[in-house]
Amino acid sequence: MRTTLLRVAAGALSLALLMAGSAACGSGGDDAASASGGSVTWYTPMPEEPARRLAEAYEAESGVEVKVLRQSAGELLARLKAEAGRPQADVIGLASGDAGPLAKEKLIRSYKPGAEGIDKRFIDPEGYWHANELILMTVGVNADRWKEETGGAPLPKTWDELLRPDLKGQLVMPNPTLSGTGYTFVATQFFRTGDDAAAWKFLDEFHKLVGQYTDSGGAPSQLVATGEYAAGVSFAHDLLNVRGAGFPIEVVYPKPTGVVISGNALVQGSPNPQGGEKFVQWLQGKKASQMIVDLVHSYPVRGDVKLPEGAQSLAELDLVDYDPVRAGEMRDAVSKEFAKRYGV
Amino acid sequence: MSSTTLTSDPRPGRAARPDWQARSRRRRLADRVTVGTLALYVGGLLVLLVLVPTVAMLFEPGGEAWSRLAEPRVAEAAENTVVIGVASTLSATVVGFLFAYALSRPDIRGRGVLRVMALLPLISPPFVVGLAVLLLFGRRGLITHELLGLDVSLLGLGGLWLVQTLAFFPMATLTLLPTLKNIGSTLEWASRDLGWTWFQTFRRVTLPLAFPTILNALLLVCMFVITDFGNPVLIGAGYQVLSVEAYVQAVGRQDFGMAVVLCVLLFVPTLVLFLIQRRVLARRSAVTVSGKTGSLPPAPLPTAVRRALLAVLGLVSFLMILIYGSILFGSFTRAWGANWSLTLDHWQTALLRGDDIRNSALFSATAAIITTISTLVAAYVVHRTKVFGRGVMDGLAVLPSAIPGTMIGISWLLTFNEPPLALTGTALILVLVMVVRAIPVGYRTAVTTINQISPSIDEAATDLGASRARVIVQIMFPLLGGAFTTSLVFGFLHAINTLSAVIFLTSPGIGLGAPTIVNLAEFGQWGAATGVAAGLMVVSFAGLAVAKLALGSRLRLYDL
Repeated sequence: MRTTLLRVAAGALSLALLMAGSAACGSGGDDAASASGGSVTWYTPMPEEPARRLAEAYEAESGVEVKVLRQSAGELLARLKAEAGRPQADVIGLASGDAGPLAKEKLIRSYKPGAEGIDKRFIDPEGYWHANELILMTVGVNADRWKEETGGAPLPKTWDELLRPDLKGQLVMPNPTLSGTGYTFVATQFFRTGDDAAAWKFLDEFHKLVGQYTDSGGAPSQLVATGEYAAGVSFAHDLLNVRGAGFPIEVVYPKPTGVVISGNALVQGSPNPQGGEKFVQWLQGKKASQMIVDLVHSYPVRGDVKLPEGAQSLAELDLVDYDPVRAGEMRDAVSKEFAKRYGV
Repeated sequence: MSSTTLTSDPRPGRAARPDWQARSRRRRLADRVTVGTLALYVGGLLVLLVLVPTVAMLFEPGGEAWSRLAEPRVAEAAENTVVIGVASTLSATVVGFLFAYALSRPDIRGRGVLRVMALLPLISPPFVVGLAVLLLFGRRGLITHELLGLDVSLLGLGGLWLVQTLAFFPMATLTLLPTLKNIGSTLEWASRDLGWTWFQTFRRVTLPLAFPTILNALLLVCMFVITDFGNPVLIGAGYQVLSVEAYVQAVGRQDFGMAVVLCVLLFVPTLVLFLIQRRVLARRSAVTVSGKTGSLPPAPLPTAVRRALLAVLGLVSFLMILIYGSILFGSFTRAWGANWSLTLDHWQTALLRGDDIRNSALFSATAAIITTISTLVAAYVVHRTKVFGRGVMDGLAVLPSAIPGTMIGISWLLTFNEPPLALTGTALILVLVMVVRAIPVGYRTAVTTINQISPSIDEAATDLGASRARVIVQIMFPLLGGAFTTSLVFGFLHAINTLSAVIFLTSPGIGLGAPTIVNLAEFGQWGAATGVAAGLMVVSFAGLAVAKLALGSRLRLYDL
């Protein structure tokens, strides 16, 4: 018995060392490949499937391997910050509003390609972010719950129509002091009213109906889908994905709809700077933009891209005049006030 | 003693002494080398993988972060952590004790089923259990709404309590079972023969004997509860606890300093429990394996007690079957609760993610082996030698379970991203972080077992002339066989389901199953997430089966 145990232990230990050794060697080979310009590392919060398809398409076209790491926006930003001493990524996907603070900390660098065909409104004059798509700020409604709580009222068409007393405790939204999604909703209220007092008045009323402020931007779509809440604040593509999976969720675009520019930035001091620049430019091109619109269900930043079937054109949509730079500047103050008023 | 000395001197002792002394000196030297090597290995491992990242992490916050401890939000989170910490720790330990008690009694039927029930929570991938609970018992839950017509919300303290109790009671069972099995049936029989009832025996004999281990179980469960992140974030619903608060600071605001400050707060309850437990252990002896073994079967339970026990455990088991059954079933339906049509799509997705699942299995197996060997050696060094720094090693081996996984991930990224310790981007770092996550439980199991082996056994061997190395190999290893296999299996299951620590350490091209589940779930692809989760569970079971085949009757999980 003791010899068998010993043999098992010895065998196990040697196996462990062998595997650890081969793992270390394997990654050493990868490092060599990326140093020779053979690959680009891309951190992105985009859903995994579209990100992989884009990477494959770029690889097929350019012969450059794209290594994709898909995680939530917050996790990627935390990683970028922790890796600052020896950056691992070349390109990081982000919302335009996140670029300002990162540029200040010198975590991303400026680059000004021609950006041909991109709508002028969606070009960063300082060259830190490179737009890919527009993401709309929407409301997801659980049709069954909505009918029950409101007695079959029509779905809301404007933000103010959401303020129904019978929805008390039935709304869910991401905590704007923690989540970019939540903050976009709040900033949208400021831009649409154009008046701080009016925006806070709306938020005061809205707060009375909120049953829960979630920590992450994706959570409300899940909680509405399972029927825990009647309606929730979410980005359109989160809701479309949940609906696509078969859950009874309606996507409402309250007028005027908030919008966020999503894109990519180049990581400062990255392993493959030229490779990163080329990839960022390719992502802004017509082909990649069409793929993104088709796969993510978002809106393009170029005029020459076909919209998904059934989608309203941007011109038809009543979009709020969302100023990403100002949204970034006022974020701290608004978050503090929000936390103070509503205790979150 | 050689025969020549015997013949040359009629009085054997005197002439033989120099020879005996030289041998004794050589043996002591060899013993020192043995102990020194083992201590160096354990110390080096713990310093490099536990101490260095933790210290690096503690240097992160500036003075400003420490001053924010007074914020009401932090105070509320701390208060909530204490409330849920006490509630879930107590309930999980009680349920865990009942399972262990039942499993240690041959007159309880259906122990095979109970054993599987106590195993299931260890095999559960992140996210899906919470989701299954919501879909079964939530506002639109299959049971609560469709079947019973209720409109109750599970979100909040109550739901969190339920889910954490179900998730963490196996830790208590795992810790308590060996002790309950080893408590001499002789003592119980004696007590019963002298006229005490079952209850008196239980209260005056069984409980006191198990007390040190119960404290051990409480400590372990408590650390799991207060550092738990997945359940409070999904089920807690605004019931803010410190571990979640640390996550939102680190990830939501990228404010590592504040996150670290919150983690330091989490050390406090762990440290208190740890010190209490040490003090109690120092006063009481937990020895139940001595030279002499009792061969009487345990005294049978009174019928009423047996029925009550089975009723409680049956209810818990029923809940577990519902939850895990629905995960399995969910992986075959198009959209849980919304569209019941059957499909194999989700399993196809799981197959597409075969690489991630394979990596998970491979790395976890490696991590389990390293963990098991290291923790047994560590337990021996700390509890059976007089090496300098044992107390520190003892603390370091438990420390990782007092830190939320997110912070371990971030502190590792800060420590191991740059030379001389540039490990990021390798598979090795994933294996090592899994080792660190699994060390506390493996170590506690090994310590419990080693403390039950009476030191008189190794003293006897030493007196008879055996070297340290020989005592370890020929006495400790065989006696620790049970702990070895348990630790191996538990380490594997723990590693394969590790999520928050590995999220920051995975690199493109080296994916793992658990983060993939969360990625899929985040975009509402619950079917696919469930498919990958089910795939991971199948691999876990396959791992158990392989271990069973390789180790045969020596694999006695929950059955030391």
